[in-house]
Amino acid sequence: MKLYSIAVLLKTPEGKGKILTSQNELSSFGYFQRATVGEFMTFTNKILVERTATSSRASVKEQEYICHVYVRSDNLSGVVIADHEYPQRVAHTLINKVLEEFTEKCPQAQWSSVKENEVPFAQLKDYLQKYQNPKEADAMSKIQSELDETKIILHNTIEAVLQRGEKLDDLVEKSEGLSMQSKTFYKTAKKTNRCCVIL
Amino acid sequence: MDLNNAFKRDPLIDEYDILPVVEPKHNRSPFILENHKLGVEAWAMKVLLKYSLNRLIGWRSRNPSDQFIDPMDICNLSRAVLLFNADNYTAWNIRKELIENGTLSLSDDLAFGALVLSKYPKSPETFIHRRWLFQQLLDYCLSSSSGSNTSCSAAAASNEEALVNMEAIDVDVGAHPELGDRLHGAFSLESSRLLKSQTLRELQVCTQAAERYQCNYHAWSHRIWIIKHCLNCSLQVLISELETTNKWTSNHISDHSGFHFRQFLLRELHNKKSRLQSSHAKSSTYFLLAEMDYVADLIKSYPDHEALWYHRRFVFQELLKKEHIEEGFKQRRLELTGQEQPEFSYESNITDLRSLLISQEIEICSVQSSEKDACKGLDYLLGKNYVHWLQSL
Repeated sequence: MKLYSIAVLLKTPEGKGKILTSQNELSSFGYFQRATVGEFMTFTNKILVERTATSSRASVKEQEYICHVYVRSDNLSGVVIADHEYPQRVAHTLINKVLEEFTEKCPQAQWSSVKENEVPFAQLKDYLQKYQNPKEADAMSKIQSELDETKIILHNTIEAVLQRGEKLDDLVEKSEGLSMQSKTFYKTAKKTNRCCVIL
Repeated sequence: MDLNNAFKRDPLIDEYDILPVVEPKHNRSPFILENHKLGVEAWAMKVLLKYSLNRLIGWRSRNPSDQFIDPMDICNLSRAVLLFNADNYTAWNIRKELIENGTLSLSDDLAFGALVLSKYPKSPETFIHRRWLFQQLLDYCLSSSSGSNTSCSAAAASNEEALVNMEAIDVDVGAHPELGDRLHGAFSLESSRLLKSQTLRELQVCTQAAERYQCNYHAWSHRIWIIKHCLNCSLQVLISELETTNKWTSNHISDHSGFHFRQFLLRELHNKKSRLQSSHAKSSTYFLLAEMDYVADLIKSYPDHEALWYHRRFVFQELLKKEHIEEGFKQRRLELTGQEQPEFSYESNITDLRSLLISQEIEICSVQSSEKDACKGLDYLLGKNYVHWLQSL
Protein backbone atom coordinates (compact mmCIF):
# COMPACT_ATOMS: atom_id res chain seq x y z
CA MET A 1 0.00 0.00 0.00
CA LYS A 2 1.66 3.16 -1.13
CA LEU A 3 1.01 6.78 -1.97
CA TYR A 4 3.37 8.15 -4.57
CA SER A 5 2.23 11.71 -5.03
CA ILE A 6 -0.33 14.38 -4.22
CA ALA A 7 -0.80 17.45 -6.37
CA VAL A 8 -3.10 20.44 -6.38
CA LEU A 9 -3.81 21.83 -9.83
CA LEU A 10 -5.93 24.50 -11.42
CA LYS A 11 -7.86 23.75 -14.54
CA THR A 12 -7.48 27.01 -16.40
CA PRO A 13 -10.26 28.46 -18.56
CA GLU A 14 -8.35 27.29 -21.64
CA GLY A 15 -8.61 23.75 -20.27
CA LYS A 16 -4.94 23.48 -19.36
CA GLY A 17 -3.73 21.91 -16.14
CA LYS A 18 -1.58 24.19 -14.03
CA ILE A 19 0.21 22.73 -11.04
CA LEU A 20 -0.15 24.89 -7.94
CA THR A 21 1.68 22.64 -5.53
CA SER A 22 2.79 19.03 -5.49
CA GLN A 23 4.69 16.51 -3.41
CA ASN A 24 6.20 13.16 -4.40
CA GLU A 25 7.34 10.15 -2.44
CA LEU A 26 9.75 8.32 -4.72
CA SER A 27 12.00 6.41 -2.35
CA SER A 28 10.71 3.09 -3.63
CA PHE A 29 12.04 3.81 -7.09
CA GLY A 30 15.59 3.22 -8.24
CA TYR A 31 17.97 6.10 -7.67
CA PHE A 32 18.48 6.78 -11.35
CA GLN A 33 14.79 6.54 -12.17
CA ARG A 34 13.52 9.05 -9.65
CA ALA A 35 13.93 12.19 -11.74
CA THR A 36 12.16 10.55 -14.67
CA VAL A 37 9.37 9.16 -12.53
CA GLY A 38 8.85 12.60 -11.03
CA GLU A 39 8.56 14.17 -14.47
CA PHE A 40 6.08 11.56 -15.55
CA MET A 41 3.98 12.12 -12.44
CA THR A 42 3.74 15.82 -13.29
CA PHE A 43 2.94 14.96 -16.89
CA THR A 44 0.21 12.53 -15.83
CA ASN A 45 -1.27 14.98 -13.33
CA LYS A 46 -1.72 17.56 -16.08
CA ILE A 47 -3.09 15.17 -18.67
CA LEU A 48 -5.68 13.82 -16.26
CA VAL A 49 -6.87 17.19 -15.01
CA GLU A 50 -7.14 18.48 -18.55
CA ARG A 51 -9.31 15.54 -19.55
CA THR A 52 -11.56 15.30 -16.51
CA ALA A 53 -14.78 17.30 -16.64
CA THR A 54 -15.44 19.97 -14.02
CA SER A 55 -17.06 18.69 -10.79
CA SER A 56 -16.38 15.05 -11.47
CA ARG A 57 -14.21 12.34 -9.98
CA ALA A 58 -12.25 9.61 -11.69
CA SER A 59 -9.85 6.82 -10.81
CA VAL A 60 -7.57 5.76 -13.62
CA LYS A 61 -5.59 2.54 -13.57
CA GLU A 62 -2.25 2.41 -15.30
CA GLN A 63 -0.10 -0.68 -14.84
CA GLU A 64 0.55 -1.02 -11.13
CA TYR A 65 -0.65 2.49 -10.36
CA ILE A 66 -4.00 4.15 -9.85
CA CYS A 67 -4.42 7.89 -10.28
CA HIS A 68 -7.33 9.44 -8.42
CA VAL A 69 -8.56 12.75 -9.84
CA TYR A 70 -11.12 15.25 -8.66
CA VAL A 71 -11.90 18.50 -10.41
CA ARG A 72 -14.04 20.71 -8.18
CA SER A 73 -16.78 22.96 -9.48
CA ASP A 74 -14.44 25.96 -9.04
CA ASN A 75 -11.87 24.16 -11.20
CA LEU A 76 -9.45 23.55 -8.37
CA SER A 77 -8.29 19.97 -8.81
CA GLY A 78 -6.44 17.31 -6.92
CA VAL A 79 -4.60 14.23 -8.14
CA VAL A 80 -3.38 11.40 -5.92
CA ILE A 81 -1.20 8.65 -7.37
CA ALA A 82 -1.21 5.40 -5.41
CA ASP A 83 -0.90 1.67 -5.97
CA HIS A 84 -3.72 -0.86 -6.34
CA GLU A 85 -3.81 -1.80 -2.68
CA TYR A 86 -4.56 1.73 -1.57
CA PRO A 87 -8.28 2.12 -0.78
CA GLN A 88 -9.97 4.28 -3.37
CA ARG A 89 -12.31 6.02 -0.97
CA VAL A 90 -9.46 7.04 1.29
CA ALA A 91 -7.64 8.54 -1.68
CA HIS A 92 -10.65 10.63 -2.63
CA THR A 93 -11.22 11.72 0.95
CA LEU A 94 -7.62 12.82 1.04
CA ILE A 95 -8.10 14.92 -2.09
CA ASN A 96 -11.14 16.60 -0.51
CA LYS A 97 -9.23 17.45 2.62
CA VAL A 98 -6.20 18.77 0.79
CA LEU A 99 -8.28 20.93 -1.54
CA GLU A 100 -10.26 22.40 1.37
CA GLU A 101 -7.18 23.24 3.32
CA PHE A 102 -5.47 24.64 0.27
CA THR A 103 -8.36 27.01 -0.39
CA GLU A 104 -8.03 28.33 3.14
CA LYS A 105 -4.34 28.98 2.72
CA CYS A 106 -4.48 30.34 -0.77
CA PRO A 107 -7.71 32.12 -1.78
CA GLN A 108 -9.27 31.64 -5.17
CA ALA A 109 -8.24 35.07 -6.42
CA GLN A 110 -4.58 34.10 -6.40
CA TRP A 111 -4.89 30.81 -8.26
CA SER A 112 -4.59 32.14 -11.76
CA SER A 113 -1.85 34.65 -11.03
CA VAL A 114 0.65 32.54 -9.03
CA LYS A 115 3.56 30.91 -10.74
CA GLU A 116 3.48 27.23 -11.57
CA ASN A 117 4.26 24.90 -8.64
CA GLU A 118 5.32 27.78 -6.42
CA VAL A 119 2.53 28.02 -3.90
CA PRO A 120 3.96 27.31 -0.46
CA PHE A 121 1.87 24.60 1.14
CA ALA A 122 3.98 22.70 3.65
CA GLN A 123 1.08 20.62 4.95
CA LEU A 124 1.07 18.60 1.74
CA LYS A 125 4.22 16.77 2.75
CA ASP A 126 2.70 15.84 6.10
CA TYR A 127 -0.42 14.54 4.40
CA LEU A 128 1.67 12.40 2.08
CA GLN A 129 3.49 10.91 5.05
CA LYS A 130 0.51 10.48 7.29
CA TYR A 131 -1.72 8.88 4.71
CA GLN A 132 0.85 6.23 3.77
CA ASN A 133 -0.93 4.19 6.39
CA PRO A 134 -4.64 4.96 6.10
CA LYS A 135 -5.35 3.38 9.47
CA GLU A 136 -3.01 5.65 11.34
CA ALA A 137 -4.38 8.63 9.50
CA ASP A 138 -7.71 7.69 11.04
CA ALA A 139 -9.32 7.96 7.68
CA MET A 140 -11.05 4.61 7.65
CA SER A 141 -13.90 5.40 9.99
CA LYS A 142 -15.13 8.62 8.51
CA ILE A 143 -14.87 7.84 4.85
CA GLN A 144 -18.41 6.78 4.21
CA SER A 145 -19.96 9.97 5.51
CA GLU A 146 -17.44 12.48 4.24
CA LEU A 147 -17.40 11.56 0.62
CA ASP A 148 -20.07 13.38 -1.30
CA GLU A 149 -22.45 11.88 -3.76
CA THR A 150 -20.29 12.39 -6.81
CA LYS A 151 -19.82 9.12 -8.55
CA ILE A 152 -16.27 7.99 -9.19
CA ILE A 153 -15.70 7.13 -12.82
CA LEU A 154 -13.32 4.24 -13.39
CA HIS A 155 -10.93 4.00 -16.30
CA ASN A 156 -8.72 1.05 -17.02
CA THR A 157 -5.87 2.90 -18.71
CA ILE A 158 -4.76 6.44 -19.30
CA GLU A 159 -5.37 5.86 -23.01
CA ALA A 160 -9.06 5.46 -22.14
CA VAL A 161 -9.14 9.00 -20.74
CA LEU A 162 -7.68 10.58 -23.84
CA GLN A 163 -9.89 12.28 -26.37
CA ARG A 164 -10.50 10.90 -29.82
CA GLY A 165 -7.48 11.02 -32.05
CA GLU A 166 -5.06 11.49 -29.19
CA LYS A 167 -2.22 9.06 -28.68
CA LEU A 168 -0.20 8.75 -25.52
CA ASP A 169 3.03 8.30 -27.50
CA ASP A 170 2.43 11.61 -29.32
CA LEU A 171 1.65 13.42 -26.09
CA VAL A 172 4.88 12.15 -24.54
CA GLU A 173 6.81 13.14 -27.65
CA LYS A 174 5.36 16.65 -27.70
CA SER A 175 5.51 17.33 -23.99
CA GLU A 176 7.76 20.15 -22.87
CA GLY A 177 7.83 19.03 -19.26
CA LEU A 178 9.67 15.83 -20.04
CA SER A 179 13.41 15.81 -20.52
CA MET A 180 15.16 13.97 -23.34
CA GLN A 181 16.24 11.33 -20.88
CA SER A 182 12.72 10.70 -19.71
CA LYS A 183 11.49 10.35 -23.26
CA THR A 184 14.14 7.76 -24.06
CA PHE A 185 13.29 6.02 -20.84
CA TYR A 186 9.65 5.89 -21.85
CA LYS A 187 10.51 4.43 -25.24
CA THR A 188 12.91 1.78 -23.96
CA ALA A 189 10.61 0.85 -21.11
CA LYS A 190 7.80 0.42 -23.57
CA LYS A 191 9.94 -1.65 -25.92
CA THR A 192 11.18 -4.04 -23.27
CA ASN A 193 7.76 -3.99 -21.63
CA ARG A 194 9.18 -3.38 -18.22
CA CYS A 195 6.87 -1.62 -15.86
CA CYS A 196 9.56 0.38 -14.13
CA VAL A 197 8.22 3.83 -14.89
CA ILE A 198 4.79 5.27 -14.68
CA LEU A 199 2.98 5.24 -18.04
CA MET B 1 38.22 -2.07 -16.76
CA ASP B 2 36.12 0.82 -15.59
CA LEU B 3 33.64 -1.35 -13.74
CA ASN B 4 36.36 -2.71 -11.51
CA ASN B 5 37.58 0.81 -10.88
CA ALA B 6 34.12 1.86 -9.85
CA PHE B 7 33.96 -0.91 -7.28
CA LYS B 8 37.45 -0.08 -6.11
CA ARG B 9 36.57 3.57 -5.74
CA ASP B 10 33.42 2.92 -3.82
CA PRO B 11 33.13 -0.47 -2.17
CA LEU B 12 29.87 0.61 -0.58
CA ILE B 13 27.78 0.63 -3.74
CA ASP B 14 24.32 -0.33 -2.59
CA GLU B 15 22.27 0.00 -5.73
CA TYR B 16 22.79 -0.04 -9.49
CA ASP B 17 20.72 0.40 -12.59
CA ILE B 18 20.89 0.40 -16.33
CA LEU B 19 20.62 3.85 -17.90
CA PRO B 20 18.71 4.20 -21.14
CA VAL B 21 21.59 5.34 -23.32
CA VAL B 22 21.38 3.21 -26.41
CA GLU B 23 24.53 4.37 -28.18
CA PRO B 24 27.84 5.74 -27.03
CA LYS B 25 27.46 9.49 -27.52
CA HIS B 26 30.59 10.87 -26.04
CA ASN B 27 34.05 9.67 -25.29
CA ARG B 28 33.38 9.17 -21.60
CA SER B 29 33.16 6.29 -19.25
CA PRO B 30 29.75 4.62 -19.47
CA PHE B 31 29.70 4.19 -15.70
CA ILE B 32 28.29 6.83 -13.45
CA LEU B 33 28.89 6.71 -9.74
CA GLU B 34 26.76 8.92 -7.52
CA ASN B 35 25.99 8.65 -3.87
CA HIS B 36 26.92 4.93 -3.69
CA LYS B 37 24.71 4.21 -6.69
CA LEU B 38 26.17 2.90 -9.90
CA GLY B 39 24.62 3.66 -13.28
CA VAL B 40 25.63 1.70 -16.36
CA GLU B 41 24.68 2.88 -19.82
CA ALA B 42 22.66 0.32 -21.71
CA TRP B 43 25.01 -0.06 -24.68
CA ALA B 44 27.97 -0.69 -22.40
CA MET B 45 26.03 -3.30 -20.48
CA LYS B 46 25.59 -5.35 -23.66
CA VAL B 47 29.26 -5.17 -24.60
CA LEU B 48 30.43 -5.90 -21.10
CA LEU B 49 28.12 -8.85 -20.57
CA LYS B 50 29.14 -10.44 -23.87
CA TYR B 51 32.84 -9.97 -23.22
CA SER B 52 32.78 -11.20 -19.64
CA LEU B 53 30.62 -14.19 -20.38
CA ASN B 54 32.82 -15.28 -23.29
CA ARG B 55 35.98 -15.06 -21.29
CA LEU B 56 34.47 -16.79 -18.30
CA ILE B 57 33.07 -19.66 -20.35
CA GLY B 58 36.38 -19.81 -22.23
CA TRP B 59 38.25 -20.18 -18.98
CA ARG B 60 35.79 -22.76 -17.77
CA SER B 61 36.15 -24.89 -20.89
CA ARG B 62 39.95 -24.52 -20.75
CA ASN B 63 40.31 -22.55 -23.93
CA PRO B 64 44.04 -22.12 -24.53
CA SER B 65 43.78 -18.36 -24.90
CA ASP B 66 41.86 -17.95 -21.65
CA GLN B 67 43.76 -20.59 -19.73
CA PHE B 68 45.78 -18.43 -17.40
CA ILE B 69 43.63 -15.73 -15.92
CA ASP B 70 44.40 -14.37 -12.51
CA PRO B 71 41.85 -15.62 -9.93
CA MET B 72 41.07 -12.02 -9.04
CA ASP B 73 40.12 -11.40 -12.67
CA ILE B 74 37.85 -14.42 -12.64
CA CYS B 75 36.18 -12.93 -9.63
CA ASN B 76 35.68 -9.63 -11.44
CA LEU B 77 34.45 -11.32 -14.60
CA SER B 78 31.87 -13.33 -12.71
CA ARG B 79 30.78 -10.17 -10.97
CA ALA B 80 30.25 -8.39 -14.29
CA VAL B 81 28.17 -11.30 -15.57
CA LEU B 82 26.02 -11.59 -12.47
CA LEU B 83 25.29 -7.89 -12.21
CA PHE B 84 23.35 -8.12 -15.44
CA ASN B 85 22.31 -11.74 -15.47
CA ALA B 86 21.65 -12.73 -11.90
CA ASP B 87 20.48 -16.24 -12.71
CA ASN B 88 23.65 -17.44 -14.39
CA TYR B 89 24.47 -20.32 -12.12
CA THR B 90 27.75 -21.15 -13.84
CA ALA B 91 29.00 -17.80 -12.65
CA TRP B 92 27.66 -18.41 -9.15
CA ASN B 93 29.33 -21.81 -9.08
CA ILE B 94 32.61 -20.26 -10.11
CA ARG B 95 32.28 -17.94 -7.16
CA LYS B 96 31.65 -20.92 -4.88
CA GLU B 97 34.97 -22.35 -6.03
CA LEU B 98 36.68 -19.02 -5.44
CA ILE B 99 35.38 -19.02 -1.89
CA GLU B 100 36.56 -22.56 -1.31
CA ASN B 101 40.08 -21.73 -2.41
CA GLY B 102 40.08 -18.54 -0.40
CA THR B 103 40.23 -15.93 -3.19
CA LEU B 104 36.90 -14.47 -2.18
CA SER B 105 35.60 -13.93 1.32
CA LEU B 106 32.18 -15.07 2.46
CA SER B 107 31.06 -11.72 3.70
CA ASP B 108 32.16 -9.97 0.50
CA ASP B 109 30.09 -12.37 -1.53
CA LEU B 110 27.10 -11.94 0.74
CA ALA B 111 27.34 -8.19 0.27
CA PHE B 112 27.62 -8.63 -3.49
CA GLY B 113 24.57 -10.90 -3.54
CA ALA B 114 22.61 -8.26 -1.65
CA LEU B 115 23.58 -5.75 -4.34
CA VAL B 116 22.37 -8.08 -7.08
CA LEU B 117 19.09 -8.54 -5.22
CA SER B 118 18.58 -4.79 -5.17
CA LYS B 119 18.26 -4.95 -8.96
CA TYR B 120 16.79 -8.45 -9.35
CA PRO B 121 14.84 -8.99 -6.12
CA LYS B 122 13.33 -12.23 -7.35
CA SER B 123 16.40 -14.00 -8.69
CA PRO B 124 16.16 -17.60 -7.41
CA GLU B 125 19.78 -18.49 -8.19
CA THR B 126 20.99 -15.62 -6.05
CA PHE B 127 18.97 -16.86 -3.09
CA ILE B 128 20.19 -20.41 -3.57
CA HIS B 129 23.77 -19.22 -3.68
CA ARG B 130 23.19 -17.37 -0.43
CA ARG B 131 21.90 -20.52 1.20
CA TRP B 132 25.14 -22.22 0.25
CA LEU B 133 27.07 -19.30 1.73
CA PHE B 134 25.19 -19.56 5.00
CA GLN B 135 25.76 -23.30 5.08
CA GLN B 136 29.49 -22.58 4.75
CA LEU B 137 29.27 -19.98 7.47
CA LEU B 138 27.52 -22.41 9.82
CA ASP B 139 30.09 -25.13 9.13
CA TYR B 140 32.85 -22.67 9.72
CA CYS B 141 31.35 -21.57 13.03
CA LEU B 142 30.89 -25.13 14.19
CA SER B 143 34.43 -26.18 13.32
CA SER B 144 36.01 -23.10 14.88
CA SER B 145 34.06 -23.63 18.07
CA SER B 146 35.21 -27.22 18.46
CA GLY B 147 38.80 -26.12 18.02
CA SER B 148 38.81 -23.21 20.40
CA ASN B 149 36.47 -24.34 23.08
CA THR B 150 36.82 -27.89 24.29
CA SER B 151 33.90 -27.77 26.63
CA CYS B 152 31.45 -27.66 23.80
CA SER B 153 33.14 -30.05 21.43
CA ALA B 154 30.38 -32.47 22.17
CA ALA B 155 27.83 -29.96 21.03
CA ALA B 156 29.77 -29.27 17.89
CA ALA B 157 29.84 -32.94 17.05
CA SER B 158 26.14 -32.83 16.51
CA ASN B 159 24.80 -30.06 14.39
CA GLU B 160 21.44 -30.40 15.92
CA GLU B 161 22.53 -29.93 19.48
CA ALA B 162 24.79 -26.99 18.79
CA LEU B 163 22.04 -25.21 16.98
CA VAL B 164 19.73 -25.44 19.94
CA ASN B 165 22.06 -23.16 21.80
CA MET B 166 21.46 -20.57 19.13
CA GLU B 167 18.03 -20.02 20.58
CA ALA B 168 19.57 -17.05 22.23
CA ILE B 169 19.99 -15.13 19.01
CA ASP B 170 17.43 -12.42 19.22
CA VAL B 171 16.19 -10.81 16.09
CA ASP B 172 15.17 -7.70 17.88
CA VAL B 173 18.56 -6.82 19.32
CA GLY B 174 17.39 -3.73 21.09
CA ALA B 175 14.71 -5.55 23.00
CA HIS B 176 16.83 -8.25 24.63
CA PRO B 177 20.44 -7.11 24.71
CA GLU B 178 21.33 -9.34 27.61
CA LEU B 179 20.57 -12.45 25.61
CA GLY B 180 23.21 -11.85 22.99
CA ASP B 181 25.92 -13.31 25.20
CA ARG B 182 24.32 -16.66 25.69
CA LEU B 183 25.64 -17.80 22.36
CA HIS B 184 29.14 -18.31 23.63
CA GLY B 185 28.36 -21.75 24.86
CA ALA B 186 28.32 -23.13 21.37
CA PHE B 187 30.60 -21.00 19.26
CA SER B 188 33.73 -19.05 19.73
CA LEU B 189 33.06 -15.39 20.29
CA GLU B 190 34.22 -14.12 16.95
CA SER B 191 32.42 -16.57 14.72
CA SER B 192 29.18 -16.29 16.65
CA ARG B 193 29.27 -12.53 16.23
CA LEU B 194 29.87 -12.93 12.52
CA LEU B 195 27.01 -15.37 12.16
CA LYS B 196 24.69 -13.24 14.22
CA SER B 197 25.34 -10.03 12.34
CA GLN B 198 25.10 -11.78 8.97
CA THR B 199 21.83 -13.44 9.94
CA LEU B 200 20.30 -10.17 11.06
CA ARG B 201 21.52 -8.55 7.87
CA GLU B 202 19.99 -11.38 5.87
CA LEU B 203 16.57 -10.78 7.36
CA GLN B 204 16.87 -7.17 6.22
CA VAL B 205 17.85 -8.29 2.75
CA CYS B 206 14.75 -10.46 2.61
CA THR B 207 12.54 -7.58 3.69
CA GLN B 208 14.03 -5.30 1.06
CA ALA B 209 13.58 -7.88 -1.67
CA ALA B 210 9.98 -8.45 -0.61
CA GLU B 211 9.45 -4.70 -0.70
CA ARG B 212 10.85 -4.36 -4.20
CA TYR B 213 8.81 -7.10 -5.79
CA GLN B 214 5.33 -7.96 -4.62
CA CYS B 215 4.46 -11.56 -3.83
CA ASN B 216 8.15 -12.37 -3.80
CA TYR B 217 7.93 -16.05 -2.99
CA HIS B 218 11.69 -16.55 -3.22
CA ALA B 219 12.46 -13.87 -0.68
CA TRP B 220 9.94 -15.19 1.83
CA SER B 221 10.91 -18.81 1.45
CA HIS B 222 14.54 -17.80 1.87
CA ARG B 223 13.52 -16.10 5.09
CA ILE B 224 11.88 -19.32 6.23
CA TRP B 225 15.08 -21.19 5.39
CA ILE B 226 17.19 -18.76 7.40
CA ILE B 227 14.87 -19.03 10.37
CA LYS B 228 14.95 -22.80 10.21
CA HIS B 229 18.65 -23.29 9.64
CA CYS B 230 20.42 -20.30 11.13
CA LEU B 231 18.03 -19.45 13.91
CA ASN B 232 16.77 -22.95 14.52
CA CYS B 233 13.16 -21.73 14.76
CA SER B 234 13.67 -20.51 18.30
CA LEU B 235 10.55 -19.31 20.06
CA GLN B 236 11.95 -15.88 20.58
CA VAL B 237 12.65 -15.50 16.88
CA LEU B 238 9.24 -16.85 15.88
CA ILE B 239 7.39 -14.48 18.17
CA SER B 240 9.42 -11.45 17.25
CA GLU B 241 9.05 -12.27 13.55
CA LEU B 242 5.31 -12.49 14.04
CA GLU B 243 5.41 -9.01 15.52
CA THR B 244 7.70 -7.44 12.95
CA THR B 245 5.85 -8.83 9.93
CA ASN B 246 2.54 -7.74 11.42
CA LYS B 247 3.11 -4.20 10.22
CA TRP B 248 4.48 -5.30 6.89
CA THR B 249 1.47 -7.44 6.01
CA SER B 250 -1.00 -4.74 7.06
CA ASN B 251 0.72 -2.54 4.52
CA HIS B 252 0.86 -5.22 1.83
CA ILE B 253 -2.59 -6.67 2.10
CA SER B 254 -2.56 -8.42 -1.26
CA ASP B 255 0.77 -10.15 -0.77
CA HIS B 256 0.07 -13.88 -0.55
CA SER B 257 3.71 -14.69 0.15
CA GLY B 258 3.85 -12.45 3.20
CA PHE B 259 0.82 -14.15 4.68
CA HIS B 260 2.24 -17.53 3.84
CA PHE B 261 5.26 -16.63 5.93
CA ARG B 262 3.01 -15.84 8.89
CA GLN B 263 1.30 -19.20 8.41
CA PHE B 264 4.70 -20.86 8.68
CA LEU B 265 5.38 -18.98 11.92
CA LEU B 266 2.05 -20.00 13.42
CA ARG B 267 2.59 -23.63 12.48
CA GLU B 268 6.06 -23.67 13.98
CA LEU B 269 4.75 -22.13 17.18
CA HIS B 270 2.22 -24.91 17.33
CA ASN B 271 4.94 -27.54 16.85
CA LYS B 272 6.72 -26.18 19.88
CA LYS B 273 3.63 -25.74 21.99
CA SER B 274 4.95 -27.46 25.11
CA ARG B 275 8.04 -25.23 25.27
CA LEU B 276 5.89 -22.22 24.44
CA GLN B 277 3.69 -22.99 27.41
CA SER B 278 6.56 -23.44 29.83
CA SER B 279 8.71 -20.47 28.79
CA HIS B 280 6.11 -17.90 27.70
CA ALA B 281 2.99 -19.21 29.43
CA LYS B 282 1.06 -18.85 26.21
CA SER B 283 -0.63 -21.47 24.11
CA SER B 284 -0.31 -21.63 20.37
CA THR B 285 -4.06 -21.14 20.30
CA TYR B 286 -3.53 -17.73 21.79
CA PHE B 287 -1.53 -16.69 18.73
CA LEU B 288 -4.07 -18.17 16.37
CA LEU B 289 -6.93 -16.31 18.01
CA ALA B 290 -4.94 -13.09 17.85
CA GLU B 291 -4.26 -13.75 14.17
CA MET B 292 -7.97 -14.30 13.58
CA ASP B 293 -8.80 -10.91 15.09
CA TYR B 294 -6.01 -9.36 13.08
CA VAL B 295 -7.12 -10.72 9.73
CA ALA B 296 -10.80 -10.02 10.44
CA ASP B 297 -9.92 -6.42 11.14
CA LEU B 298 -7.91 -6.14 7.92
CA ILE B 299 -10.77 -7.59 5.88
CA LYS B 300 -13.11 -5.04 7.37
CA SER B 301 -10.76 -2.13 6.70
CA TYR B 302 -9.62 -3.13 3.25
CA PRO B 303 -12.28 -4.86 1.21
CA ASP B 304 -11.59 -6.60 -2.10
CA HIS B 305 -8.41 -8.48 -1.31
CA GLU B 306 -8.35 -12.18 -1.94
CA ALA B 307 -5.15 -12.84 0.02
CA LEU B 308 -6.83 -11.76 3.25
CA TRP B 309 -9.72 -14.17 2.79
CA TYR B 310 -7.35 -17.04 2.09
CA HIS B 311 -5.35 -16.22 5.18
CA ARG B 312 -8.57 -16.28 7.16
CA ARG B 313 -9.33 -19.75 5.80
CA PHE B 314 -5.95 -20.98 6.98
CA VAL B 315 -6.35 -19.53 10.46
CA PHE B 316 -9.86 -20.85 10.84
CA GLN B 317 -8.92 -24.30 9.66
CA GLU B 318 -6.10 -24.39 12.20
CA LEU B 319 -8.51 -23.32 14.92
CA LEU B 320 -10.76 -26.23 14.06
CA LYS B 321 -8.12 -28.75 15.08
CA LYS B 322 -9.06 -30.66 18.18
CA GLU B 323 -6.54 -29.22 20.61
CA HIS B 324 -7.25 -25.66 19.47
CA ILE B 325 -10.99 -26.04 19.90
CA GLU B 326 -10.58 -26.97 23.54
CA GLU B 327 -7.97 -24.37 24.23
CA GLY B 328 -9.88 -21.71 22.32
CA PHE B 329 -13.03 -22.23 24.34
CA LYS B 330 -11.11 -22.13 27.58
CA GLN B 331 -9.53 -18.90 26.54
CA ARG B 332 -12.69 -17.20 25.36
CA ARG B 333 -14.41 -18.30 28.54
CA LEU B 334 -11.57 -16.87 30.57
CA GLU B 335 -11.90 -13.56 28.76
CA LEU B 336 -15.63 -13.43 29.35
CA THR B 337 -15.84 -14.45 32.99
CA GLY B 338 -12.42 -13.39 34.13
CA GLN B 339 -11.78 -16.64 35.97
CA GLU B 340 -10.92 -20.20 35.19
CA GLN B 341 -13.97 -22.43 34.99
CA PRO B 342 -14.06 -25.59 37.04
CA GLU B 343 -13.07 -28.63 35.02
CA PHE B 344 -15.37 -28.96 32.12
CA SER B 345 -15.49 -32.01 29.99
CA TYR B 346 -14.64 -31.00 26.44
CA GLU B 347 -13.86 -34.48 25.23
CA SER B 348 -17.42 -35.64 24.87
CA ASN B 349 -18.80 -32.83 22.81
CA ILE B 350 -15.83 -31.86 20.69
CA THR B 351 -17.78 -32.39 17.49
CA ASP B 352 -20.56 -30.19 18.84
CA LEU B 353 -18.12 -27.46 19.65
CA ARG B 354 -16.62 -27.76 16.20
CA SER B 355 -19.92 -27.27 14.44
CA LEU B 356 -20.76 -24.47 16.86
CA LEU B 357 -17.56 -22.69 15.84
CA ILE B 358 -18.34 -23.11 12.16
CA SER B 359 -21.87 -21.81 12.49
CA GLN B 360 -20.61 -18.82 14.50
CA GLU B 361 -18.09 -18.04 11.80
CA ILE B 362 -20.75 -18.34 9.11
CA GLU B 363 -22.96 -15.98 11.04
CA ILE B 364 -20.21 -13.38 11.46
CA CYS B 365 -19.47 -13.41 7.78
CA SER B 366 -23.07 -13.28 6.63
CA VAL B 367 -23.72 -10.29 8.87
CA GLN B 368 -20.70 -8.58 7.37
CA SER B 369 -21.70 -9.26 3.81
CA SER B 370 -25.26 -8.12 4.37
CA GLU B 371 -23.88 -4.84 5.68
CA LYS B 372 -22.20 -4.38 2.36
CA ASP B 373 -25.68 -4.85 0.92
CA ALA B 374 -26.46 -3.77 -2.55
CA CYS B 375 -23.00 -3.03 -3.89
CA LYS B 376 -22.19 -6.56 -4.90
CA GLY B 377 -18.53 -5.91 -5.41
CA LEU B 378 -15.57 -8.23 -5.37
CA ASP B 379 -15.52 -8.39 -1.61
CA TYR B 380 -19.11 -9.61 -1.51
CA LEU B 381 -18.09 -12.42 -3.81
CA LEU B 382 -15.02 -13.28 -1.75
CA GLY B 383 -17.11 -13.35 1.42
CA LYS B 384 -19.69 -15.57 -0.26
CA ASN B 385 -17.01 -18.00 -1.38
CA TYR B 386 -15.68 -18.12 2.14
CA VAL B 387 -19.07 -18.94 3.62
CA HIS B 388 -19.49 -21.58 0.94
CA TRP B 389 -16.20 -23.09 1.99
CA LEU B 390 -17.24 -23.02 5.64
CA GLN B 391 -20.40 -24.91 4.84
CA SER B 392 -18.39 -27.64 3.18
CA LEU B 393 -16.27 -28.24 6.28
